Amino acid sequence: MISTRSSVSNEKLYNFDQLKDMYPGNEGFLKHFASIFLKITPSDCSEMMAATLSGDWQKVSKYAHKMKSTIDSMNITSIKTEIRTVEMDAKNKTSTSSLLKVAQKIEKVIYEVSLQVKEDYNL
Amino acid sequence: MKNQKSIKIFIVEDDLWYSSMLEYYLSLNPDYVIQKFDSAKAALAKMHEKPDVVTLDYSMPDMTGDQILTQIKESSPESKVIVISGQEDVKIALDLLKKGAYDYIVKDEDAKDKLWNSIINLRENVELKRELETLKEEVGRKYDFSNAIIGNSPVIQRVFGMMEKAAKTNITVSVTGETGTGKELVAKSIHYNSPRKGQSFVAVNLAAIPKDLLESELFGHEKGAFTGAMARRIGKFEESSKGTLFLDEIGEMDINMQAKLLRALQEKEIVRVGSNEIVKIDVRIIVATHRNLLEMVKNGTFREDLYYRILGLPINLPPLRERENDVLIIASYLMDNFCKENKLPRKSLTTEAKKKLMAHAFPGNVRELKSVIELACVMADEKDIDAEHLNVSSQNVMGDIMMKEATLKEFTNKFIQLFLDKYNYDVLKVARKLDVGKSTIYRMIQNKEVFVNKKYAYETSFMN
Repeated sequence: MISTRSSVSNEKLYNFDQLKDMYPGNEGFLKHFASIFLKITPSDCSEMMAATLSGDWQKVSKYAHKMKSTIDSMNITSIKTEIRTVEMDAKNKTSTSSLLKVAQKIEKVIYEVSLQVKEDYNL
Repeated sequence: MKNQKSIKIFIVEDDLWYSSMLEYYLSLNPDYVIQKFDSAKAALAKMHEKPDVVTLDYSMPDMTGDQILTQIKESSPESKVIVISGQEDVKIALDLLKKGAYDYIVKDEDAKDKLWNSIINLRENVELKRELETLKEEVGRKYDFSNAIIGNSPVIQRVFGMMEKAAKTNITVSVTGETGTGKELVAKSIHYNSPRKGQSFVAVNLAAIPKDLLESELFGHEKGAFTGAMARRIGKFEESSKGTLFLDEIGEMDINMQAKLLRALQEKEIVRVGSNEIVKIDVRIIVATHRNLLEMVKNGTFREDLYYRILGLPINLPPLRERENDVLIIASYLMDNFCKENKLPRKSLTTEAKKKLMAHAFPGNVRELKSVIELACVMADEKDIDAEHLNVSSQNVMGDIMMKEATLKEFTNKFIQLFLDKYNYDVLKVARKLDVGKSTIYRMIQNKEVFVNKKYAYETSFMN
């Protein structure tokens, strides 16, 4: 499990362009969504990881599905494909042996995104 | 608060991020009233609020998308359900659309724009539907028995009783009465108070249609049935399917056409002109005439079998002159309506004006009264409508006076009034013309048995 803030990537891993299109210049609006992200996604990600480790594929698929729309909306491009792979493979119980590796990548990126979000919005 | 323009939207989505995004996005339109639900059960518990639109996440934790859709359709069939799914699955989409979903949107980058467009498209339908419902309610209110026909006289109360009986069944109704008594109004009131009120009310004035065109007008025609029949056209019978067909001035119908109408009524089926196809009809018939149909039957100008077929429940509308004080009640109603519609201050009738109305026989009945009152409202600058503002036609005053049953004293008053009106309230002149004592006329004025206009009243000392 990742537990430090030291691994923050220099590369920007997300953007709120979709949200900015909806409410241009509304920082309060973006901060609201930043809070929602921090409240939900890291915790969903932890649930997904725990389910992956225990082989509860139905649960893995469920959390991957749930995280998918947030990942898309925040343009976290580095794991857009991976989250779909996890969702579908877990649902179909195919290639499950390689799912842990993919899930770990997702967890790492989500962790880094959450650090960036905290920093960007002083949360 | 939901107003006429607002669209009530339920967002059923367990993903807080996504539901918040939809909420923010849709709330850009101030006409959208939005409620969020993170479980299907919470949303279903609120379905009695009849949302216009439900955006439904297909993968809710407590129920499947199918189940939720089915329950929404059961509890709020008019609500449009837009399913938003994380997966692009054509089979699921088709299945949901078959089950009554309005749209199926995949959660991708364009989802919110697709949703926006989808709601815009259905909004037009919602608004049209709401407008139609409002209009139907308004029409229903307008033709409520108590609003459509005004009056307290025993004769009109009897008419109300008959109308209520007619509205409860599908019986054919024949309305008779002089011109202007409100025959069509009675027909509409019966329709809009009957179980058929949600369907069409179609009125046909048979006197206004050339006899050669009447068959096509009533039964419709096929393309090429006659010169000028460029396309198939359905007739009034089909137009009023499951509703009411009002045949006004039935007494004017050509005898040959009467046979065809009789067949349609007996067999409950019609054949369009130029066609062999029989079309079944389910229409309630109300007929009206100012003629004495029984007399026409005796004269051989109206078919006896048709007469008995259409007689059904006869409602005879009494002329205004036989409706006692109804003339004043109706006048007041018409005044209020006209002033309201034309943003004029509310007006009232002076005693003299009331007497003048009561003295008039109104051969044109309510239609004539309406025209007299509306003109008076325009002519009277002040709050009061006086006798001088009432342009009651005096062309046939003698006839009017004789039309009404009255006592000798009442006839005398009317004659004196007639002469006072004619000679500009010159009492001496009237006394000379009628060979009565001027003091007799002065006494009648004092007793308010006859009236003079205000100008005269101001100049004479005995008034007031």
